[in-house]
Amino acid sequence: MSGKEGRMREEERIDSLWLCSLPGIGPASIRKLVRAAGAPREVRKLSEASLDALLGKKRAECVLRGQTGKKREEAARLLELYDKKGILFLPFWDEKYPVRLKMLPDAPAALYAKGRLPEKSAPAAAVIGARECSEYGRKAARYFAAELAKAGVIVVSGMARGVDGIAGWAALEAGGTSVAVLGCGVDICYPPENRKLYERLEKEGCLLSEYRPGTCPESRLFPPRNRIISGLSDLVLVTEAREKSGTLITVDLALEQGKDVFAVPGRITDCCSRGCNRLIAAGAGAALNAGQLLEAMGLVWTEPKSSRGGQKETENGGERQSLRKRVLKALEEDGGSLDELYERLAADKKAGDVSLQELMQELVLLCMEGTAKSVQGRYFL
Amino acid sequence: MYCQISAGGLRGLESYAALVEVDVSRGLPCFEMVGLLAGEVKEARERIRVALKNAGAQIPAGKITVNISPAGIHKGGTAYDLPVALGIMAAQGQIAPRCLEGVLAAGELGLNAEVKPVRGALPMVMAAKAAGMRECILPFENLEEGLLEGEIAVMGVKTLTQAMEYLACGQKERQKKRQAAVHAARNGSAKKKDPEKGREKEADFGMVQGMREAKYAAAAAAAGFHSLLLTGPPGAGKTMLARCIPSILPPLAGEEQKEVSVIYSVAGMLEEGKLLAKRPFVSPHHTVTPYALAGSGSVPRPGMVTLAHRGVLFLDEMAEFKRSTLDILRQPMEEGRIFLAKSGGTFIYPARFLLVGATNPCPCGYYPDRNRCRCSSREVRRYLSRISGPLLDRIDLFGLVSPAGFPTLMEGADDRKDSWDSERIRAMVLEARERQKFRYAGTKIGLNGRLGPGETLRYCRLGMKEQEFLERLFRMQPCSARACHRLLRVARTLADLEGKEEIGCGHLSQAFCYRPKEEFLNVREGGADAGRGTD
Repeated sequence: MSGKEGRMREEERIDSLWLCSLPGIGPASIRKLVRAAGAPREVRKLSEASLDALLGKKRAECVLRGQTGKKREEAARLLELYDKKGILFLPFWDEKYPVRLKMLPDAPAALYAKGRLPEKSAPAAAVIGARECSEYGRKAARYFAAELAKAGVIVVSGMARGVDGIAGWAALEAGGTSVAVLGCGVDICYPPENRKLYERLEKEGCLLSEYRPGTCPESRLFPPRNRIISGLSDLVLVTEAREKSGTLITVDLALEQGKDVFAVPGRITDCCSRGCNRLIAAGAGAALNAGQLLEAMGLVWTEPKSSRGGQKETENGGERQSLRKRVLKALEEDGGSLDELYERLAADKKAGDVSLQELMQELVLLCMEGTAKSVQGRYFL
Repeated sequence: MYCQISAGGLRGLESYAALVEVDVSRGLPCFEMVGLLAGEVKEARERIRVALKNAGAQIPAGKITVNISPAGIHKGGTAYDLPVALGIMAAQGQIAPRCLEGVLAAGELGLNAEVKPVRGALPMVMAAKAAGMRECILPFENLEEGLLEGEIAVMGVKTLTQAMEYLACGQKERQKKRQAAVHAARNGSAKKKDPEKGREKEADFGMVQGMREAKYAAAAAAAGFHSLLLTGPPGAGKTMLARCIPSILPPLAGEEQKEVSVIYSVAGMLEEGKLLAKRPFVSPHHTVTPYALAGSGSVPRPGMVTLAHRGVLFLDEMAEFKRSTLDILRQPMEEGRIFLAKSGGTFIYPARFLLVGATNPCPCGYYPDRNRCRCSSREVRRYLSRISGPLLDRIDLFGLVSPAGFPTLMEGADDRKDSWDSERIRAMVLEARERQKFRYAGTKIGLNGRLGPGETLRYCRLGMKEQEFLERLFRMQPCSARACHRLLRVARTLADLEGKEEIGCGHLSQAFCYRPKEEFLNVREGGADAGRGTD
């Protein structure tokens, strides 16, 4: 009995893949066909007349060609290959297809997935931003993604360079889960420098794409995937965006879909933050801490204890500590290169001289403890 | 009649005493020169014929044969003019042949019988000394250069007639003439130099405000002979800083001075009659060809790497150099010399230089300042990947030059010097050098920058605490064995700079600050991009 049922389902999947891979037939036509015929299997039996009535002459011909040719056997072979590669094929009518996407008017006809599909009911938030981000944007992405992930929120992003990749990584590091929506086939890692993240997402998170496996990354493929990113999420957080940024496409889509949009405020002089500040001025939520976002999603936030607490206890330790305090103060102002920090320390004449050597040692110690971070010869808190 | 005289021959950087043999015999008048001669040597016939006439001497109406031996070595250059002319005069009987005994002559002749300067006078004089000659006759312009050798008697002549007169004199007369020539030469050069002196002011670190990080890196580079790469936005002062580095290097020692002067003499770049006292600072443009950098020609002239021997080779805009050009540097950096296999033979030229590079961090120059730089990370990587990995591996110090803030800049008003001027840094460097000299006495190492892998661990011992510290550093940023040795070597120099014999945690962390920046390390990751213009 179960064997027969299994075979039935298998047949249905082959039919689905056949339907979704017909050349010249888009998502809208596929949905029309399935609605009319009842199931993908029935589509193969539709007559020319009814096809004509449904899709018009041109598209009907495409379907007819598929009905007669060897397309179905091809689909069967392909499905077997996908199974072998661990790629999951999710047509629109599959029960595992994300519910949130089903509601979109332009939902993809089928998704290809690798990894574990996220739970349908779990809250999800997109953390997105510029590819060429500043250290501040990186830090913000890391913080928000980690806090959201700890609270059980699925972090959705695009696995692109910059903010996207960092957010996905931080979410996994925090023990949460993350979904990456790719602009190429799920079996291709793009950009290649995110290879490690790609491999981790395969195991601990999920990779999604509406494009067939093997599709190479191309610039025209990337903007459409943004609707999936926002569609999968309850809330969209922009950590850093320039005035004219691709990230803002996702924001527009999210607003069309009726999702909450939050932006991380930045300095008015930072051109990397200008897009975010503008979003806030236009009515987006200002993301001041992770609690706000969680509240907007109806979750509770347990604020992490400040990591500075431990240091305060040892603060009676003489010169070393006073130097540390001054270095931290200089870092708090803004990150910078050794010279910039040195200048800042030297400007405070009252506190006495600090040598460059001492400053270097202190910075390395701070980096070791994880309080500070060095990026390209510049130091940040 | 047969006669012979010694001439200065040049082969690469080395010189030898060549023998010019002249024979004048009866026969149809002709003038033949043999001995594997290059075009410019054969052309000497016409110059000599006319010069002799204009000097008032007669060309013998007979068959003149000149052979320059050893006949198996290629001979080039114009220094054979004078000895051949003198040889003809002697063969004709106008000069007594014994007057030419123990004399080495070199000089180019003009048609008016004037003697013009030649390349490589210093090594020729040194070769004369080695060959047991008594005295040298050089062009007047090369006299001071020739005197640098110090031991052998040198005469400078302005014309061919002068040379003949000189040779006709006895020993005492000759000495008088020599003294007069030396006196005249020194007076002349003293007059010439005075106006220049005021103009030429050596670059000094005192003129560079701020930039402590890079200055300290420069001090370490000078002290331990570590190659240095400076990164920073355009206009921050990378070039200016690099130009100051020769001022903190210890002056050339006696032997080194001669060694470098010989190179410059052969290249024809020795300033009149001065041993090079300053260390050379060679700064090739980034369009330089590999040949110009290494040395080219069938008997190669010294290239940039050799001209920078014992000095600084500064590569501005290092990422703009062709990769093939930069890769030339690998052998000299490793071995301190360069092998040149040319049609004229195989030559080994010295090339122990301090490499100082400067580069922008990205094509526009402002990375990682995202307010100004919009280069994608791929562009940044591609830009820096032009400096090949093996070369980066040989660079010990990576310094960052950040533009000085306004208050720091203004400190330079009213000619006030930055407190870290060359004098102060030079003192630090000298002390560090002393320590190294003491430590490496009896070995070939000499300086921290030349420590090999095995030696690094022997000479850069760490205490328990420091070892633990180093381990923690590596946990923070894992790195290769080579990078570990690099860190230790640099820490050793930094300790020397502070006058400490033990390497402390402070030195390790300072060395850690000067490690290669991440953008250089990531260069080799990623590799071939699958995507096509997804930006």
